[in-house]
Amino acid sequence: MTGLPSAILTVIETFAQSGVRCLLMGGQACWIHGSGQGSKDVDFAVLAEPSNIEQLHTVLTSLEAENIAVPPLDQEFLDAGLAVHFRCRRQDAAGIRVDVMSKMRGVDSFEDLWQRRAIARLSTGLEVNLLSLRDLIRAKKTQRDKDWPMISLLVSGHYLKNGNDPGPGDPIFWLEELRDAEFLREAVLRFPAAAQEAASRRAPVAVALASSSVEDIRRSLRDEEEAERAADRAYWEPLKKQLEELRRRKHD
Amino acid sequence: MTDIERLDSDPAAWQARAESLLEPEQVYWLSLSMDERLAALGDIFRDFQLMGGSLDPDPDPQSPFWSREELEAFARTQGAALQTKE
Repeated sequence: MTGLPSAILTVIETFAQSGVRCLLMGGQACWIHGSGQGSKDVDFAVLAEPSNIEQLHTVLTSLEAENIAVPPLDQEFLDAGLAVHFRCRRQDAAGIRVDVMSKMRGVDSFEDLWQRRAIARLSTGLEVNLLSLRDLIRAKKTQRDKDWPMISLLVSGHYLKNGNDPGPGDPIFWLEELRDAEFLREAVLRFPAAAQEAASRRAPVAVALASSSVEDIRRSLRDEEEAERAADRAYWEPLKKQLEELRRRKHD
Repeated sequence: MTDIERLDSDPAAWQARAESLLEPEQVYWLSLSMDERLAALGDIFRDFQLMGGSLDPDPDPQSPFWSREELEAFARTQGAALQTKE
């Protein structure tokens, strides 16, 4: 450790101190929830209402954050489900990309996310609010290759760490979200009542109950993943058209 | 005793399994609390930058946020960088 400040942590701390209603998500939230890997930018879910957006403008200005690409920061675009992108220029945060969104496919409203939020604390006592693990996983169910191994890592890691001493709700969480076929088969055997409940909502659990074949479960998990990816691609089609129109207007 | 019964009765079996399935760095990272991981983030990215790592996002053709033009521009940048090195 060199004692030099970290630009990433500077951005996270600046947001945490600002009073903006936001929840850390994306790669940094994955690190904090135990993935062991993440991303190089800082993503926030934000409450899209006028006074909060005004405070967001203020904190971004303090970081000398430049809006890059499209769209600009405006409630219209946040409500539509678009992400707004920034690059910080302030010396102690130079180069850090910040992305903000307020609406994501399959993810509850900001107020619900806030109620369920996780909180991590620095040694100074500063609290950093982030998406709960369950909400982070829902937000990561996208069309991108890189997000699915991350989901698997997060859930499998949680299972390995807590499997011997599950908290309330953990068995259902594992049955609903495990992406490793062998772990899922194991969870079905260990928690049969919860598995019966989860089977009505999740095909790979129903397959694991009906068949001891790991390959059958893997196939069902692959089908489940592909269905989510297809749903995400369909969700983004009109939004991508909106982005293309915004880029065209910007260049005109 | 079945494997499941052994898992349910032996905490050490879980640790051993984590160590056999995961890289040592991942086992260590899992052992930390959320507070400890947040603090460690600072060290990770500071060291990454000190070693010359770039904070530019990796282009992602599958991301709906990257336009075709941005991907092509990045590819041209990478091509120029390779030519400079050669």
